[in-house]
Amino acid sequence: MDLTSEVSLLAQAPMFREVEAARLKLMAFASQRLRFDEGDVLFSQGDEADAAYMLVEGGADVLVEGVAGPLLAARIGPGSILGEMAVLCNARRSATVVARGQVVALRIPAEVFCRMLRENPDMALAVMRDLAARLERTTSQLAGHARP
Amino acid sequence: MDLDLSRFVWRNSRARQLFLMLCAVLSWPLAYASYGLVKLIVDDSLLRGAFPPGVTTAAALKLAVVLPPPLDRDWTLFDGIAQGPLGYLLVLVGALLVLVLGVALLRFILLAGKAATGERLLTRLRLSLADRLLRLAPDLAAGPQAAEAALAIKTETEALAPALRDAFALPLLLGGQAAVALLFIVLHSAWLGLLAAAAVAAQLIVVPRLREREARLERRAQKTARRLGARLLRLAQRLPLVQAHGTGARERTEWASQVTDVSADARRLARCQAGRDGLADLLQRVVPVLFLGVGGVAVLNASLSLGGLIAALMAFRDLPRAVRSLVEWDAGRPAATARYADLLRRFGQDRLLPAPPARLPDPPGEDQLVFSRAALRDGRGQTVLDGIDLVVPLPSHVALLGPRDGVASALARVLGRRSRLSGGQVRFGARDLADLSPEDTGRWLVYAGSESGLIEATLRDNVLYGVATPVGDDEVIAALDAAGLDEDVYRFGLAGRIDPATDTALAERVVAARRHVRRALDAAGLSGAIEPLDPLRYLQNASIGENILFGRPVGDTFGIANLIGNPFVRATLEAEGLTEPLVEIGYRFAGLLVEIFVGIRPGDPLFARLSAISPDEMPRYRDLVARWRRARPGAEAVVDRERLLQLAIAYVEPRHRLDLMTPELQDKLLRARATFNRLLPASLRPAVAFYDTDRVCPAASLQDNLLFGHLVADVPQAEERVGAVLRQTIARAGWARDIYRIGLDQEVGPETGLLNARQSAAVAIARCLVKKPAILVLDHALAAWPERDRRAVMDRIRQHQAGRSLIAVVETPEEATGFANLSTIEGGRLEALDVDAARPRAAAYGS
Repeated sequence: MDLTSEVSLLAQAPMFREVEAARLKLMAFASQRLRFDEGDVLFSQGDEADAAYMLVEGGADVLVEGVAGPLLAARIGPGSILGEMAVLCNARRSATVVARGQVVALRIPAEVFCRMLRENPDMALAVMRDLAARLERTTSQLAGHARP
Repeated sequence: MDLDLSRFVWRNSRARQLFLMLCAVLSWPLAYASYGLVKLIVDDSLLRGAFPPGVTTAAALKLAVVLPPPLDRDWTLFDGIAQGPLGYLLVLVGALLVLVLGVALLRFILLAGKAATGERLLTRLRLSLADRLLRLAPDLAAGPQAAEAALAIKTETEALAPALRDAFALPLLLGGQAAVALLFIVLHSAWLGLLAAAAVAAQLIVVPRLREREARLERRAQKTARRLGARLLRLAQRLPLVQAHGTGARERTEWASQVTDVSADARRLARCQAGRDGLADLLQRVVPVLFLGVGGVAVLNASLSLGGLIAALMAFRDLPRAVRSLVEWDAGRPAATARYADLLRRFGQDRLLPAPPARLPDPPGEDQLVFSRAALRDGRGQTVLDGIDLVVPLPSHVALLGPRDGVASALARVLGRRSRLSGGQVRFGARDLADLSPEDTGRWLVYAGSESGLIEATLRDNVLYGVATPVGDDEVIAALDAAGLDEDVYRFGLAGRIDPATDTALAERVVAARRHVRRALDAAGLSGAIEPLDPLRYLQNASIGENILFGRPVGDTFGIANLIGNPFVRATLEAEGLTEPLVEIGYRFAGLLVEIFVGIRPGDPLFARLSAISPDEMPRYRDLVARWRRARPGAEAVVDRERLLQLAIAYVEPRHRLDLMTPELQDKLLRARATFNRLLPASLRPAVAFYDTDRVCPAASLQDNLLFGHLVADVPQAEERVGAVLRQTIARAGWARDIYRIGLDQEVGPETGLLNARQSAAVAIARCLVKKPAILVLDHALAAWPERDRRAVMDRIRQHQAGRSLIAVVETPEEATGFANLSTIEGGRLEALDVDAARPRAAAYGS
């Protein structure tokens, strides 16, 4: 797996679809490729957010601390972008992400990610759209819970 | 210091000035005698005055003192040398030559001597001004005036150099020269004397006026030129307007009149300068003609000999130039005097601290610190302290709450000698604070404000700045630890280097520790986080260049910038068939960098962090990549290949991820590594520190030497986790102190940019702590720390200063948590605050 394939994987993500190939390459180049083993933690809930990640190989579990212990919020696979919201909001991590099997991930440093947003209005728009969709999903989930 | 320039020169170089003046005075009779000899040569030798018909020998150079008629006496000093006409002439000419050479020698001694004296005076002046700079009053020392004054010590004194050189001897030389010439002429013919005096007078009157006019014109010309420049700029700015409205002709007319003005001024100025030069020239040419007329008449009626006329002409030759130089010297004097006075005013007594009193052997009692009726006004005359009375029992730790420019801070600044009381006094034990020398307060009563002040030196020397007694590293480290800089010192230590030649014991321990470190990493599950330096394996996480060298460059020979240019390296690459593959890697790498750095500004931090090509090299690589595939062999191609090879050696596969490393290529590089090591000429061996399991690599950091491997790029948080393991191992082995000691050797001056504001402030505090002062004054000294960290640092400082006094002016009650009491100053009195009661207010600060 080299830079070119990382870039083509990045290009498939909706938020990067409109970004110039050279800029995506720069982002990938400025990122670090990391290898995680089964059960390794990519980041933990409550951590400061210093980077966003893209899964290149393997899958991961997104866990949220609940009253009765961690709840599995999502299972994600290659090509998923994660941790970008906390970077965006300069907030702490809202979930813990654990590697399922062997995982290769691209660690995109926060300042690089934010710079991409600043330089690419289309990307910012896509991120906003994604954020809005998630908010709506959460709202409807909450509404579902509220109903007896 | 003398306020008058001449007096300063005289006092500081009296003996030299007297010697130089003696040279000037000695030259007078010689010059006079030389004119006399000319007269003798003409009258006695050429016109045969000494050889009347029948006389064949005469005494040349007969010296006699003849008193005029009423006394009518004469003494013969020298009987002369009896010679025939030819010998007589030769003796006289020889004597003239000796006299002229004598005058020239004296002039040379004088000119060289005055230059040397001038330089000495300049040094003296600069030294005493620098002394005064160090004593500049605290309120000025912090402001821009100090920098201006410091700059003036260089620039202004330079401008004073001619005045320092020419203060006494030069006018004496020039004036004497003119006077001797004039005297000779007057004594030989009153009429000629009158003529010469008139020429001198004309110069004395006209030259100063011309100079004055010249200076005026010069000032005006400068002003006009500046105005013209500004107009031109404005014209350029409104060019679109001019073109839109077709006002070119109008602008041109206006412009033409301006330019004409300037050139008229320049013409006048040139005329003035030419006039000044011309006058001296004119006098030198015209007056001799008049001399011939007037003197010729005198010769005809025998009141003047022909020799006298010719000698007078020669004397006059020296006159105008000497007078002109004298007038110019005189004209430059007022400006130099004013400049000197102005320079001294910058360092006037009113701006200086009083001369320091003598040092005391011991602190002047430590029972209490008393402010009585202490008054202070700020730079604008506003009252800051209004007759404060305050008693601080010693030793104690006192926290004062107040803003940065508040009353408490003002008190602290008074203690730290940053401000001088305008009334009242502060007593430290039995002594008035004002009576203590800065050296003493520097030892016993130390102040740290929010400014830092690093010097160009190592961390150790920064902490020990101003410490008179010998202090060991342990105390320096303890002080830095209390100021919260221990982590950084440790980090510097790990990044520092050890020299196996001088630090043999530590070097041996480092080599032995490599095994322990590896075992500890294995135990922590981090065996995969470090790629060991194995001579037989390709280092994935190192650059291609490092893989070939398998060591670190010492000096520039094999530095990354020179590696490819080195013939031995190139021969090695060629021998292993690596040149072509590496050129290809360089091309692919260049292609990527050129592509992704399009449109990135040269100053962008991404460049420094990521690009193997510097911003100014980028355009060249861009062209190179564009033409490479269709390149023809030639000089350009040779340079291009070099550039690509240069880039290739910086390539690290897991970091740059272009998938360019094949097993075959790695084998070739390993062979190149072996060849390089085996065939490296003895003369080049000192330029590489090879990695060696049994030896310390002096060109690598201590950390690299301990890990003896590279961090693996794709292991998450490898640096932090490995760092923690390393630290534990070092602590267990009990040589943390060595690490700190090496850390203290780190250069941290302001130019290194290594320390941020907090770290610099910590150094400033450590510098105070290490002196173990009787009283430590902290005036918002923790301002550079985040609010949440301040309390912990303050606690450590208090521990270090235990048993001695601490007066801390703090911004929030939170910082004062550990203190027994917290006070504020209200209406000139100390008001105790309840720390606990004050703390909820701290929460309101949003800490």
